Amino acid sequence: MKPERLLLENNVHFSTLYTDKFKTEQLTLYLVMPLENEVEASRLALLPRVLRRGSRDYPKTALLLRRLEELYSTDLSAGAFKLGERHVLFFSVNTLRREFLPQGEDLLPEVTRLLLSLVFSPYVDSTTGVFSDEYVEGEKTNACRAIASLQNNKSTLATLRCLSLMCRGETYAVHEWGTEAETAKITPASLFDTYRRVLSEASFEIYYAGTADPTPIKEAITRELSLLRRHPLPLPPTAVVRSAGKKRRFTEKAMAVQGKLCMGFRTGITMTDDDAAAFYLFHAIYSQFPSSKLFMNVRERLSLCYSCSSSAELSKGILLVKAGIDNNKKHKAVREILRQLRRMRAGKFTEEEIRLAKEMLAFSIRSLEDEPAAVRRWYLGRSLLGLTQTPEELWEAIRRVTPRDIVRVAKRISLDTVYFLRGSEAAGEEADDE
Amino acid sequence: MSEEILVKSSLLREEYRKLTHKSGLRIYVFPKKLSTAYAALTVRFGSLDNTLCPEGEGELLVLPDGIAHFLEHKMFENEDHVDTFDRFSAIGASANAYTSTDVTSYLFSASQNFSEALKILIDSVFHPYFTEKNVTKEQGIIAQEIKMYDDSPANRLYYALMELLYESHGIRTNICGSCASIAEITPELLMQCYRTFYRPDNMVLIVCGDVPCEDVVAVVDATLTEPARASLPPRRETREGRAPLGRHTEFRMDIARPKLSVGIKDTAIPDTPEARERRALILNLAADLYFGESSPFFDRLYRDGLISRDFDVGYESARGCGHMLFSAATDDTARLENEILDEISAIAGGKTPTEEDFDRLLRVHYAEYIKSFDNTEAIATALLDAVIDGVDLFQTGEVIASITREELMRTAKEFFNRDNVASVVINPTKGRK
Repeated sequence: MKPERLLLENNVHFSTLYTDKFKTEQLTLYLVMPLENEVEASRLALLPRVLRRGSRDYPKTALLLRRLEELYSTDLSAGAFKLGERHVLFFSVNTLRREFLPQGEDLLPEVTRLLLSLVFSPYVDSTTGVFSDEYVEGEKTNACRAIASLQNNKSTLATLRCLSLMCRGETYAVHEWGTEAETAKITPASLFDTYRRVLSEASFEIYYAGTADPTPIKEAITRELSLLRRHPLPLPPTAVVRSAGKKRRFTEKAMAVQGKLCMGFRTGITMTDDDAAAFYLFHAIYSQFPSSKLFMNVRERLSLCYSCSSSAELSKGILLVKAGIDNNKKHKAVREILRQLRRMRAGKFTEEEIRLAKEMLAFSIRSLEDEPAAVRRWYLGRSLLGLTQTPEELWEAIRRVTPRDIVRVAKRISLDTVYFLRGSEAAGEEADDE
Repeated sequence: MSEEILVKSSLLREEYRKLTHKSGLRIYVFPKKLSTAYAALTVRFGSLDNTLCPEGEGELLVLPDGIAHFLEHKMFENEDHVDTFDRFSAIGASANAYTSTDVTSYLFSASQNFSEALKILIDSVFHPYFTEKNVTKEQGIIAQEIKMYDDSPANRLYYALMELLYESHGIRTNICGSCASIAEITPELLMQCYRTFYRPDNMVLIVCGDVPCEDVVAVVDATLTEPARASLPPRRETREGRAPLGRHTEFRMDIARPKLSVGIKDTAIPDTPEARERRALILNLAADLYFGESSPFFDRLYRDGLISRDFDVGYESARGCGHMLFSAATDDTARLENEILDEISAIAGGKTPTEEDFDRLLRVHYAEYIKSFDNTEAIATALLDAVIDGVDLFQTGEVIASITREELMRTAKEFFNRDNVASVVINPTKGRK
């Protein structure tokens, strides 16, 4: 499923993923802005929430939702995430293909119109000329609640705290939803300014996946863009820290039964790095899978945890290792996680471990194809870095990785931050006990 | 071996084959041209099966809570100390397992070497290896799993509500058990459960992917050579036709905003599988019609700021029980609960949805059914549920299409009964708003 990616105009790309494997088709608009600070991030994150409340054609949310249901339960999703130090807003529809509808109706033209109207023809209060007070105030409340609720899941909380402490002073520390305090300050007028700025400055990445001829969609988008005065903003590259400075340790308390450990490493390796393929293999042997060293040792051998996972941020050059452990087992877990990293650096992994890791990577790369959203994210992440690499090409590169490459990658990885969310009867901060 | 039967759906443009192997194993193969194929070998042994009758003895043995789940954890461990995960990894397959109220399921996805992976799956499920040492080790791991769920507000909310709705039904019991109950588990006890439940005639194999049925049967032929035994372990079903045990409970956790969950216990579960499926489909339709995102109820409370998009409602059932659950984070749990109760009373009083709203929601459920056939894991899971429940997966679309507004109102009027309601609130710990 390699996309055909066309430049519609400056900083606007349209990609077609032809596939007849699914009963649905999807149209997705990504609007990409630089990640800047908490003020801008809060505004950008609020925008999709407000836009999905209604458009000129469907000024009332209930009308819009009913129309989506009439269109055979077309799913609408909208939101914001970050990719490295870029802030990506997305608007997406997923609808049944005509082959599977009782009368063979073609929903795509109307679904396209509906999606584009949400983005390009929002509902505007006729007296003020900006977003309606009701929608902005309502969604500010919802956004603040969502931000506050991030702490409900202690594992998520530990990851967020680790990232923000580790990247203090870097743009990457800004959360994709912004903050409650900055969200509370937004007004319909200030948000409308942000909206106009996004339409003018954002890079557009548009994806259609399905069997239809996308020409009418492209034409409709070109028409919308022709009505705008576009001044696309260049997207600055993500700042990558090559290696960690002084190790930092933080312990905070939360009212919880279990403690959550999150260790942040600097890899300095992003998708454009020559060592990217070797990093994939390193990660697979070290921590990514149930057959990896960490799962086999921290969980299976030492019985320290149930959940032991890791995530690699290849857009930023960070690796996070996480485990849910008993409160008094932190040192034991940290010691074992670092011991296994030293073994990686010393080349203490077998041919068999490499083979297993390669097989698991081959599997995960091949299974991308079964999920259009995964294919879309693959190409979005890469095209924003100027890459065109297909999953097959990455697999070919991984196959050529040697044990020496893996050792080199392991040596590039340095521990930056050890964060521990200690479970206790009362919440609060405490000094580290080490 | 029974004859292979081809089941087709013109609506979905899909088909599957089913047969019973001479070992008693029921096999279902659903072809799907995707890159990865999915297989699940499922044992009819879940957290609701909390007793067993040892062979040759008359007395019923009461099992420690969480033993089906504990057994699941132990099945991927082998005598030669090669972990089953490694065996799967070595051929590029990704394995997992889960335990529910009704079953224990062992599964994998693979993009190649399908037959080999299936052989590993069957081998590991039919080769138990329990020692004092590996049972003790697993007690440590599962204790962490239990503690992880203890910190999950959604999980705590769910079990607190089940404890109010039910008096003695097994749905009240955490699938993982408790730290105390799993401490009672021994290698001998695991072996007893294994011998009772882990037999081909008490299992179902489901395969979904680009795999020929003959290949599946060939692997089963080569691995399961014993013929089926005479009788199956009994499947106990407890029913509780009474009103809920308790009405309301509250507790505190470290969360940002209060959470409310309201449950309506189903005290009129039908006797036949078809009738149960129909009832579940009707009640889920009713849940969306009266409380879903496009309903006047949702629209009013959302605009009021009382609920956000996380407001959730749906009907679920397990062996011998069924309930509708509402859950939401809200600043005013008392007011939200009253709003829900008022709407329940209105429905019980015969509140009539418009023809237009009914038709639209019927269309939504019909479309969602078709959309669910796009992913091998989702298909296999839906097929497994249908097999375990004793219904035909390909009939579901027609059942949905045949529901009438009058039937929905009749069922809703009887089901939405305030006498069967219980609720749970989690308040944020002190110091927070």
